[in-house]
Amino acid sequence: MKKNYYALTFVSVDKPGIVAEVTRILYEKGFNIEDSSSTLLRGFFSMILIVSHEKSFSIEEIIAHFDDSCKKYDLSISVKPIDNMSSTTKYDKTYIVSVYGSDKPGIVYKVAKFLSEKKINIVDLQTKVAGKEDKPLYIMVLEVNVPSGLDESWMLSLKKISDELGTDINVRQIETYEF
Amino acid sequence: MAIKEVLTYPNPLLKEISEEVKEVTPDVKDTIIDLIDTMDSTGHSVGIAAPQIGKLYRIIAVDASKNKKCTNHHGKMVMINPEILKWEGMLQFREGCMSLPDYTGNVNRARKILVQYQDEKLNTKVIYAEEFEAVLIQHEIDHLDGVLFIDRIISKRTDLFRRKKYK
Repeated sequence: MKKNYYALTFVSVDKPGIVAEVTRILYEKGFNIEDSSSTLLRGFFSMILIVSHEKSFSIEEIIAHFDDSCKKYDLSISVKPIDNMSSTTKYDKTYIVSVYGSDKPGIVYKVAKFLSEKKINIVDLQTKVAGKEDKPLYIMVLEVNVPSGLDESWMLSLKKISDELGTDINVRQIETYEF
Repeated sequence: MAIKEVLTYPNPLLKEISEEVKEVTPDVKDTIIDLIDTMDSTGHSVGIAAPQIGKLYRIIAVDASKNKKCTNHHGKMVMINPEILKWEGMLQFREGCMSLPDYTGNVNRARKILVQYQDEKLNTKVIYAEEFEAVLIQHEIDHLDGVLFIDRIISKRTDLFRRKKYK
């Protein structure tokens, strides 16, 4: 049985019932939720779902399923068909990188650019602005996969970039054990 | 004896509470041998609990020495009726489990535990286990109470929340 995969994203001002509404439509139309992540960003509820169906649909057909829901909940929706489910690359080690300091432009970009140059893959990224309004504090937490064979000097280079940005940084390896 | 198939969730036996072992019956003896055979047969397996091979006895087998990074351990052990008497400190590993393949989660465990158990002749023993070995024993004891690491997950994602503003 060949499955057709679609990436759906929904964004809306947060209110109770959004998840129930979106998943009701998916359930009634026979879609299977393969993977999903939802969170609240500055009062906006954001959902990303990878769904599958044995039938093939056009983008317009899928959007049409959600017409009423989008009106009712003021949801914005986007749909992207996914041709091939990419297999995950084998990485050697997983690290959590925390970068935090006074808010200034370019923190995410400069860290991400460095990681990209080193072929270090970001698998999870969250940023928050905290602190007082007149003294905003920027917090970025990344989970990264480091390719096998990369020596550990990348951590020192990243520390240097962090120093230039005037932020603090902490890198720790996540040990995974199968018991 | 035999290398057994490791049961995977949603097999209902993984959510059962296992029974205390009061005497070493032939079935208990066989279960112990099967546990060790099954653990030894999988290169990466450092521990296994009887319910994972379909036997609801309070028996676990652990071998922290299989983890090269673990230096402080008691080697291969069969622990019957294991019980944590005292614990201290906390640490977090990302745990996976043979009974829940392809999924891992961050779990907080005690860093150091005092464990009482009985050996294969039902002699009572008490040991201190630390770090990796302590986490391993806690994970396996959980299986005896029908608890999977999913029941203890803190967050699949990095925990980072905005604090609620109270007006």
